[in-house]
Amino acid sequence: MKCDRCDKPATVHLTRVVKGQVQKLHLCADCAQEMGLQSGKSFSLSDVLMGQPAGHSAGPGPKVCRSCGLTLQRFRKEGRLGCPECYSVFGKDLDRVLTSMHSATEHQGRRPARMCQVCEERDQLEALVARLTAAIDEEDYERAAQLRDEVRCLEGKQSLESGEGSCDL
Amino acid sequence: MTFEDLMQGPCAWYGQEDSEGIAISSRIRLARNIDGYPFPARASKEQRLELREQIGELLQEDERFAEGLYLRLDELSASERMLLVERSLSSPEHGEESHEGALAVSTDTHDAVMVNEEDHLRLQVLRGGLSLKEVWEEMARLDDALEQRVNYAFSAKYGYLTCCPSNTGTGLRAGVMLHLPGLALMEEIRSVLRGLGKLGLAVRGLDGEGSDADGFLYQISNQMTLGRDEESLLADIQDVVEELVEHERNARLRLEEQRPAWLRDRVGRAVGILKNAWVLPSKEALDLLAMLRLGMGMGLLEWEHAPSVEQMMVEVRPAHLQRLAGRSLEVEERDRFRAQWMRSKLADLKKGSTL
Ligand SMILES: [Zn+2]
Ligand SMILES: [Zn+2]
Repeated sequence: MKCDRCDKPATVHLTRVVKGQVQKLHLCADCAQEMGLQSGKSFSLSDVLMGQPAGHSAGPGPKVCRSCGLTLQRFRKEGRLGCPECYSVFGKDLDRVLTSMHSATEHQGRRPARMCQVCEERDQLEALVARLTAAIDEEDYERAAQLRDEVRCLEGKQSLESGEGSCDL
Repeated sequence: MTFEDLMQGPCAWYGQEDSEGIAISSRIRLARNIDGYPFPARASKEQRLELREQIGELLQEDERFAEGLYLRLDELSASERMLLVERSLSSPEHGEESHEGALAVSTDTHDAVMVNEEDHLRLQVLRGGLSLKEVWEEMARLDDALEQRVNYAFSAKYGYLTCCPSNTGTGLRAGVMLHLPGLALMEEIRSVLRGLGKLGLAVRGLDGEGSDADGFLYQISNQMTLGRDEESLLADIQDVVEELVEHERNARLRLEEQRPAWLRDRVGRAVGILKNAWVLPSKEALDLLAMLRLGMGMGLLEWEHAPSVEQMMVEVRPAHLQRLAGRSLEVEERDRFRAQWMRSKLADLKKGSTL
């Protein structure tokens, strides 16, 4: 696997959960050093990816929902979404619409019982990632590798269960 | 249960209201979608049909709906679909042929589920009077029961995912139907209702969006669905409705104090026209029935057997009227038939009975 910022092999793999979104980062040792990531500071994925050569990242945001075929243009015109996936695809536009309608972009209130399990796992994941970061900080690589495997295992489970795709960046 | 049974029974939007009849009914709707399917407008015909059968089977397992109705709307006639719309059980768009829509009605006719409307599911619970709390408990039970059997489209950030962003989050639309003729007669209705928009509440007439307030019937409902939980959204409506009921009560007191003769004149004239008209258009009938209802609520009318004005307000509407007539009627014919029906209905009103 290559580093997200340059083409050297990535040796530092980070996963963080920010506001319920899983962010993943693969860096070479040099870039990680440069980002100050080993000191356990929080990072913004977009900051890290900024200033990369063009074409390296996902490029401009997707304009079509791959799941139902709704285009951003049509969403803007009709104000209706086509499928549950649309919510992750048109996030930015949608947040603007939601803010104007509800003065809010985040749900409060009832949630399906099955979601509580997912939330629990999300909390677990957050805790694991914190321990992983600490292990990297302390240069306890054996422990870090073990924790990394646990994180991967839990992530795999989540993506199987919650088909909501809000983890995609 | 058959379609005919549903029509024979009372319309669910009124019930055991408070004695003054100011708050007529409380309704809560929840928009829900099934994960893994596009919303109805972007789903294929096959997917909509599949969902319709799947949901039909699911509701069969619910005790409220097992003995109720599951109506595939494209199997109904246009007039049967209109009857459902007039009873607030369905929407005009929902009945369109190409939607593969269905409507489930519970055995007691208080709960309904619209399938393949704008969202896969629109759950609806309706009770008489100001009863949001009771309606919400009932709704939460229905929602929980369904959620155990299907995966709702839900995201941790946005909540329940709906076709229109105006429903995203809780997917909750709660409304209370109010009868406010006192405020209308005192010409205070506008100033009282004007402030509601700022509170994030919508005011609509009998037929919902954009319609005039025929019969001085107003529906107060929430506009926001995201960023606040259900209890707090409901509490807002409850507070405002209690205040409006108080305003209406005061308006009626002031009418009695300041303009007693005029009030009796308005009620008496309404009774006179309803009892004697030979041509009666729908809006006029509703407005006059509203005066009749006000007179009854204020104890100004004496009956042998008081008719249910709410039921009459449903039955004077075009599809219901044609059902009573047993055939389809042109507009003018309808107005004549409506007048004839009304005269017979009010025959047992005691002579000169405005007190
Ligand atoms: Zn690098
Ligand atoms: Zn989509």
